[in-house]
Amino acid sequence: MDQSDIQEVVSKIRKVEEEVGKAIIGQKDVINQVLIAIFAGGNILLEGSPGLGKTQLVKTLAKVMDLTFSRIQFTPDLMPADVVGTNIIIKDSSGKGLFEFQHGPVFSNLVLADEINRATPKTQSALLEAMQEHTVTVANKTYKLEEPFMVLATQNPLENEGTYPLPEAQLDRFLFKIMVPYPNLEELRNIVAITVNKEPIELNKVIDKNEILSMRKILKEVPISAAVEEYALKVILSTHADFEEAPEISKKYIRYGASPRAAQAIISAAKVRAVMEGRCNVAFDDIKYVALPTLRHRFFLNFDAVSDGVTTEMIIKEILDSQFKKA
Amino acid sequence: MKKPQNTIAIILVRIKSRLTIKNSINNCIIGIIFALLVGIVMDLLSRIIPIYNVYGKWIIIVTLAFIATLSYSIITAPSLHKTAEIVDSYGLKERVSTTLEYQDSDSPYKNALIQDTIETLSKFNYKKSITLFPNKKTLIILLSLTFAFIVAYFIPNPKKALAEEKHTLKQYQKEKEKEIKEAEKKINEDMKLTEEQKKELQASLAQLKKEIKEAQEKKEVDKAIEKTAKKLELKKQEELAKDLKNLEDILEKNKNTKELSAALKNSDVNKMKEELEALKNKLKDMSDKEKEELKETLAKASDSVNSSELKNQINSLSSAMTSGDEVAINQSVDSIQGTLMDGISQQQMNNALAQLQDALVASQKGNGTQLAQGDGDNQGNGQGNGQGNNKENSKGSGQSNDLGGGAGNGSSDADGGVTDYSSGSGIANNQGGSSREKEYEKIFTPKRIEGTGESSSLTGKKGSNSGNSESYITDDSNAVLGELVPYDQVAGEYSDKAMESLNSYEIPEGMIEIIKEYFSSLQE
Repeated sequence: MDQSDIQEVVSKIRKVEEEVGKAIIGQKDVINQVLIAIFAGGNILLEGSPGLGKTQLVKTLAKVMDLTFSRIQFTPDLMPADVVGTNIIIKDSSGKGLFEFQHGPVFSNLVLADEINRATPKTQSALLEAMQEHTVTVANKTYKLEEPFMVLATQNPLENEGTYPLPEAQLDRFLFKIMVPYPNLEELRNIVAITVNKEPIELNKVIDKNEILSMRKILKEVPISAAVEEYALKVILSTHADFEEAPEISKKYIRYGASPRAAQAIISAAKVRAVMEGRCNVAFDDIKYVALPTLRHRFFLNFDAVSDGVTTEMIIKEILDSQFKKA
Repeated sequence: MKKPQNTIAIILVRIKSRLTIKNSINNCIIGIIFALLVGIVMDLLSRIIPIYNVYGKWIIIVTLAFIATLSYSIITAPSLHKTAEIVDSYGLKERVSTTLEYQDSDSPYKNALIQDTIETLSKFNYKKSITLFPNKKTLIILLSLTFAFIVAYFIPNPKKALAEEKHTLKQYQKEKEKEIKEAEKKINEDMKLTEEQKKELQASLAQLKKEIKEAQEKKEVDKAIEKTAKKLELKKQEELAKDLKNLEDILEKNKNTKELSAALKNSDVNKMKEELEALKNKLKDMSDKEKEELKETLAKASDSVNSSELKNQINSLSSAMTSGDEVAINQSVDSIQGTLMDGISQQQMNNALAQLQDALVASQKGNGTQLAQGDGDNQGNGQGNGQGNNKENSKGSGQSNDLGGGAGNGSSDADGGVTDYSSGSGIANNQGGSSREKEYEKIFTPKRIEGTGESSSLTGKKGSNSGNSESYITDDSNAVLGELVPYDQVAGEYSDKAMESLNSYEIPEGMIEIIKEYFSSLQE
């Protein structure tokens, strides 16, 4: 592999970015982070108010990347079988009854779990195996999901009534939690101009699933220096109050720190980001860039933090700065 | 073809050199700042505490600081990997350090990474990014301290002269201590000295070292040395006296040397000379047996004496007798004669001094408050000569050359007898006017080379003056009576003896201090 191979990977990602940008106005950072998570092979939790284009983004990605797409609208009465599928009785030609597995919507490359926090924990947990193992087990039979498989879940931070917050175990399975911000005036003007006044936009398929899989393999090999790796790992450890190098803010406000899965996530995401920046190595800046979406849902604050108005973002920024000074 | 990795290494080595130079400049400036601070503090302190050669010391500190910081900079020069990390911190996004780590790996990214790093490094202007000019803040501190130091330099230092004086004293003390150490070494190596003698000498030298160390003035060092020299001289004389006594005892046992022993016992120099001359002649006529006996006596005599000189001379005589070499025998006898005469003279001198000391103590004991007091520029000194054929009579006369006024009381007790002493005291305290320091008057000390007699001290009351007089009685009017020696030399000896005697006499406590003061004043 030489510089041109890297450039080819970068140009493909750029093309996807551009194509997605046709349908999604603004939200550059969101698109960028979503692409990082997709090429790092992770699931994404999108959080934002209704109408910000979360569902549109996922649908667009599926089209541009030529991926099969399913949308599951999570509601309180949604059952696990509605997600993963179920065995139904069918009659064969001789009239004998047989169980046949009916695939649920999870059997797609890209699954949009819309308003995931509205379903009961039981149904939410139905996704756990699919998200981590990329398999589904029904009636003691395990079914492998087609690669690439990704869950892009959305949740609305405003309407908390009748919602079920995601359990920690499930949150940990999301590579990124991306906050979708409200568009600014210019972006809003463009959204209106494109979606209201003009014809619907035709999106082109830029890459296919096989290319995604091979790009993932390449991106996993991106070199990372010992110093940068140590920095990333210390950032993860600093989310634990008992880590001696953790800043005071961590020790004071963190109830439960990030798991080792967070370390894997931050490194693999940083590698993708490095290549997207046209580099063949991971830099401190890459770690800093991916730290927020990687960590903001992986550690939990105590009551003091809530009462003092301290957010996970504030703590992550403090950790990044304090560890960078020591690096 | 040059490997791409080498290109990176070459660039990094250049950057490393630049970083080392930059660090050296910065560290040296910090070192000089530190040295300037120390210099200013030392300069200010030297105005309170005398510090010798402040600027010389400061130059040493600057030099040391400079060498230390330079060495530190070289020792702590960044490694190639550290250099890479530093370069990365100038916006190279960890390319260089990652390349160094992966350049020997099997990573598929290796070539792309090296290619990318070379391109980025070639665009990196390290000379612009890594400037050698020290940071402004440090430079301002350096200039301010330099200015303060220069100002401090021009402020007069009132303690400078005192510091120089102390330094001279210290150097003098060191010099003397070095000499003492050498002397100690020689004593340790000296095979002729017994362990006891060595210990005694070492103790004297240790005491001297202590006194030198505690001395506050050069004069005190000299005094301590002089005191120890006198002590050692006395010791030497004691040893000689012992040798003479031993010699007397051994020689008495041989009939041919019996008369010689008697002459030694009586300290009769003429008789001893005669006996030695007679011995020379006797040797020619002696039988072998007598010669053998004499050799045996001489061998015993040689063993009994501690003086290596006398021992050698006796051994030489013994050897000469064995060989029958008359010239050698004569020479040996002559040399023994010379040594014995010196010894006797010295012994007589010791006796005289002891008598004087006893007289002094007796006077103090008997008269109590008879210490003379007076005012004057100088102390009055008297010299007395006595003559007589009869040991039972004593005459004394005192003269004073005192320039100032003084009063003295004294008593003379010349009621006959061989051990007739006259004692007296009369010393004017040197309180008025100015005195001529260190130019002591010469006073008489009896030193009889020939003839026998007793010494006597007289105190005279001479008008308004006071003085000590010493008389010397001899039965030989043509004897050499002694010599004039500086007053302080005699006074020093007196004082030492008196101080030593303080503990062995019953003296009222109140008087001890008076006596001490008195003898101290004698030496001033």
